[in-house]
Amino acid sequence: MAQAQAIEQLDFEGVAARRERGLWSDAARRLTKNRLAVVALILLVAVATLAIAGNYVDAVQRYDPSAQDYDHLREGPTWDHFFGTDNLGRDNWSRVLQGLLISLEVGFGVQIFVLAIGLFVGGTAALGGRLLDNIMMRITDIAYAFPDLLFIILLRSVFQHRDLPLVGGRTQELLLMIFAIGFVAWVTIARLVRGQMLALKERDFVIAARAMGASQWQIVYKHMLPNTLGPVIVAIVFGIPLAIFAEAVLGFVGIGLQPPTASLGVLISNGYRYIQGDIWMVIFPTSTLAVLMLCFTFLGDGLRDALDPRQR
Amino acid sequence: MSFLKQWRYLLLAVFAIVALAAFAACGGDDDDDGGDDGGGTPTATEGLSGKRIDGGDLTVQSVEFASLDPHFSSFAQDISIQRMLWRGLYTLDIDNVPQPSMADGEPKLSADGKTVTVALKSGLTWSDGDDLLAEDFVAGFLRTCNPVNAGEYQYVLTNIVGCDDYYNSLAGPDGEPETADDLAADSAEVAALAEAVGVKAVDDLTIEFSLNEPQPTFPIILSLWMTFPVPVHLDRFANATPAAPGDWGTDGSALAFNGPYILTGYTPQDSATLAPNPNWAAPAGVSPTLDTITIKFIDDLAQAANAYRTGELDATDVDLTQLESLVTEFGDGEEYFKFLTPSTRGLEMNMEKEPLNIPEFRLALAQAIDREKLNIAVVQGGNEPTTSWIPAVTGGHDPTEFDSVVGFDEAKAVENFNKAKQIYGKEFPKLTILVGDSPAATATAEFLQQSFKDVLAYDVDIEVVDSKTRSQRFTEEQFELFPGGWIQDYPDPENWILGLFDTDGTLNHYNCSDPDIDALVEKARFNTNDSERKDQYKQVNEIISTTICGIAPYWHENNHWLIKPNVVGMRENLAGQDGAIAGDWAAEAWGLSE
Amino acid sequence: MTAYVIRRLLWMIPLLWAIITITFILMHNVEGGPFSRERPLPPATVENLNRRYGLDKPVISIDVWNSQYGNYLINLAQGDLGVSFETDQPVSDLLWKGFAVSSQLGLMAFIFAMVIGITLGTVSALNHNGPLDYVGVFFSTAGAAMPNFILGAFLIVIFAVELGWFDVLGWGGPPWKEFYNPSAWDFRKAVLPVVALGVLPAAYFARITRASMLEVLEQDYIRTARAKGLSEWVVVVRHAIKNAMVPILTVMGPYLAFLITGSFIVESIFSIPGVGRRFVDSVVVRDYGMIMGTVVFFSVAIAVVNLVVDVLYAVVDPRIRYS
Repeated sequence: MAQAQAIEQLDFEGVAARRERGLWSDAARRLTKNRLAVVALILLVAVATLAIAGNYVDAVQRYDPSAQDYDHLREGPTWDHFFGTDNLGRDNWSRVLQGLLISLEVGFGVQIFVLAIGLFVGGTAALGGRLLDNIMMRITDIAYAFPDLLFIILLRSVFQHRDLPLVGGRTQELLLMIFAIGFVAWVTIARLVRGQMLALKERDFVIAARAMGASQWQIVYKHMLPNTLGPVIVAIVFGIPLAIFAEAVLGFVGIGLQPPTASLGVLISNGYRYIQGDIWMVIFPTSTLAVLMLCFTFLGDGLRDALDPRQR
Repeated sequence: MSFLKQWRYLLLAVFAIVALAAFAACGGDDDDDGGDDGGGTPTATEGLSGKRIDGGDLTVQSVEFASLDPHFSSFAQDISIQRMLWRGLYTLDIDNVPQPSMADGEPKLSADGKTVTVALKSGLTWSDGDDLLAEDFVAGFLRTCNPVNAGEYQYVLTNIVGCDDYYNSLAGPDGEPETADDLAADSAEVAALAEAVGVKAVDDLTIEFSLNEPQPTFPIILSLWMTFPVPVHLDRFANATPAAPGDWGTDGSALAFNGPYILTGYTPQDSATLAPNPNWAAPAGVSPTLDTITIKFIDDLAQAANAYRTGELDATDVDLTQLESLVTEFGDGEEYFKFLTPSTRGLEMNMEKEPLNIPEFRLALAQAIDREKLNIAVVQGGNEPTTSWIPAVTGGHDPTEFDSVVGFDEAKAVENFNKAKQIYGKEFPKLTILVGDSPAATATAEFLQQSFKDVLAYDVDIEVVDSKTRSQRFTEEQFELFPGGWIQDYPDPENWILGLFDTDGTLNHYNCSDPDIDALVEKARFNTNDSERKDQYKQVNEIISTTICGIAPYWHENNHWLIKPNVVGMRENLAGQDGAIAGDWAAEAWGLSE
Repeated sequence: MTAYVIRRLLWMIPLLWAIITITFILMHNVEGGPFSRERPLPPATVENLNRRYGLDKPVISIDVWNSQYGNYLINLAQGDLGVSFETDQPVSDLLWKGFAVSSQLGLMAFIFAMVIGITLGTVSALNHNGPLDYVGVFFSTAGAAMPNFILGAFLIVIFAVELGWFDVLGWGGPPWKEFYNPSAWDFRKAVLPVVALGVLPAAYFARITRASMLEVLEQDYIRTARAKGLSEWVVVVRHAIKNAMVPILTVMGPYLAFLITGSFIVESIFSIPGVGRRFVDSVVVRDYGMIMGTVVFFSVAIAVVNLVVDVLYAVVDPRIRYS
């Protein structure tokens, strides 16, 4: 839901009109001038590095995130356990780092999925003629009218416990989550892509290219795709934290990722139950999630401003 | 109007005097028998300095009931509220002994023990003033045996002549549904089967039961919810037929009650409100003193604890994840109370899945579980670790009785594990623990996984599924290891064995098959010598517990409650049929003190 | 215009049919049925229960009208949503009772979000890059950075448990007919859920208002108004806010639909008997009747609200023409 709004507010009417090379270098220059966005970007890179290091470098991870220690149940932060321990005596620091990486995987995974479907459906609708446009848009209507949460729950309940070929365990768990969240999120991108491309079709430089005998593919590849990409990138950057957020909410509903796959959302909804007695279990994953949300939001703001021609 | 008001005050005053008298008596009793069998668990809210006051409004937490129809439903929260609104011929006292409630005296047995006659007290009335007669009770049994009503606890009445035949009638003579010989619910054949059910009203005050076999536990059955009466004077029940048994509904104004309270309001997902039943025929001399009871439906116990703190609830179930901090906050025995429930949980093992068919392998797993640590790590010490299947209070063994045989012992576990390896002759396959998605359940599975890894160096997988999936997999025997257990329906050891551990038992999904158990069950089943019968079941318990025939028990569960200091009369017996609401063994005794 | 509305309404029928069919198929492919119990029921009982709820028929078969799917469509066409298996009560009753509560909570949260959001956004914009702006931006980003079940939990712990200002159970709104009577409200129960539900949209509205206002304040007509010597107050209220409202209005429609159809999370943590909890709960217990009921309800509700909003746009903004 929120994702739909986040993108509806973007107005990219004019973006398309410009030639791509100028657009990108201008945008990059303007982005680097936006201090908040730069800080957010640096912070994000740092957090992502920490997440990766925290899963693959023992010195950073310090403890096995699944190792239980019944002599240290639900303890507060100490030098031994930076973020304290959880209800089974597992180290919260290593659990948060693990959860961080998984949440990032969910966030990016969903957006890759959304981008693929959205570009395909939106592009087909815009370029494939009246009939295809109609079919694609009716499918989009159905997906849009379907209550999001409801669809995610049903979809996950149906596929959760089927052993799919090739993948299994954690990867399957993760892919299903990505698929379920992505399935309700692609509609916005599809509409955005279709709208952009329909507008571009009527632009002078596209008409000119066509008149000069460029093939359909050349036009799409050289002119339409690059000019559509700007707003899509912004939408994607705003979409990442929303997907991470959606996964956290699913964790609260009780249909989040299952152990041993502990995302931030799983840690938060597990810690939520201890909010009064052992507040550390919820404070650290929540703060980590908040940092992610803030960074992506500021970066998204910065990108939008950078790609917004009206500020020229 | 004012007349009515005064009348009510007068009535309340009478109630109060009777209740106080009854209470003094009850309190005394408990001090005596609390020590010897641990049956009754007083909340210690008895005999406080504060005097019981007339009236008052009590708000308690529960989970929302699924149905009010006692002849249909099977959830503990349903039974809890149903027992406040209706009562049967007998009722279980604090020591789980059936005592006459609507019945007048003990049931009378024929010489062969197959005919049971129960006399009804005279002058009983429903809450709406209509007479409560034998036909009301007979209608209750028929409703439970009625296939259209599809009562979920019909199986308890299986020993009543014709009940099973009636209940299974719609599948036709071949017993297979969806075949040509299926019967319609309004057919003459079904009506004849209904007519043949062995429960008859001899006259307005006498009920006669015909049993297939003599049944020592039958008076206990007569106290259970599925035998509660039907207000047949109401139109929709008066015209009931096998095909249309009448809709029980949830509208209190369209029902009649014979329990201590009447239902005055119900808001789905929110609450139910109850008021005293003016026509309640207090069998033990206890009548309600409260003006109203509000049952608030709250699933999230952390939320309920907060509502208790803000004073919106007077009593609530406790979330085990917060147990330690809540006990510290409210004081053990002051506002926090613990009731042992007649339930056992353990690691169930599907004995048809290799290598779980090897006794040494099962033993190794059982001995690898440190039950004390499990209890502390997962439920903050809230349950009672055990190695016995049947709880001691229901005629089983002490929780520690079999510790030396199947209790935590790393050396023995490894020894048995290696023996099993030799027998099996190859590498063990990786087994999976199938577990529900509640936080406590997943934590239990994670603990067990770690235990097997640490003690036996054996890796198992965990599969977390939601509760319905878990139940279906269990029923279809699609599991290997499965944390599960049993909560008793009625306080008798047979309820822990019959159908659960006999080779052909319908609920024996772990495929326990032991000739000794089968022989003992065969002997005990219709044994009219009560002490011998109970001893036979106790022997079965020993076999199950020491050979891990299907389950390695790890704890008996406790119920944990927060109860405000000014609440009196909340007590539990160990019947296990209700217990979804704090101290609801006899809700008629609830009250407030100064 | 009328033709447009009729066309949209007609389009809802195949849309609804598609959604019902998809849900029906998905629902019956979820493992575990409504009668899978912790304590397994005897097979004879399951058979009788299936008969009781019409589940003995095939889900979908060649003989469509003798299948559960066909029966559902027939009943739905007659306005009958069926029975909830879990509670044995009519689905439509339960949904209406829940909607009466959820819509009130959602509307209040919406009003809260509009008031707070527009105020914050306007103040931020007028203090562009000033301290008040940073406070506003901080609030509007931070408000969206925390899942609302955590926010709700903290609100409860601080304001209800520690300070004792509010209650934690239930919804304090009166029946709809007394909506405008303040004395019928129980504010001890009504405030926290509204805040918990309203913070996220408030933060969002604040962001949009700020962006929109900043843009409007750059426009020539504002400069002209200032140049004419009109007071800042008049400029802001008469010209800026009015014009800045257009983008806000475009996002508020879907949000209103989203809020009044109930929030699972807020209703759960405050034990509010709303419709938002129904769907999740019904999926968990495989209450087929209720799952279908909520899907139909949500789909129709969202489609209708979106249609109403689209029509309102056309009324408010004469430039919009539907064909």
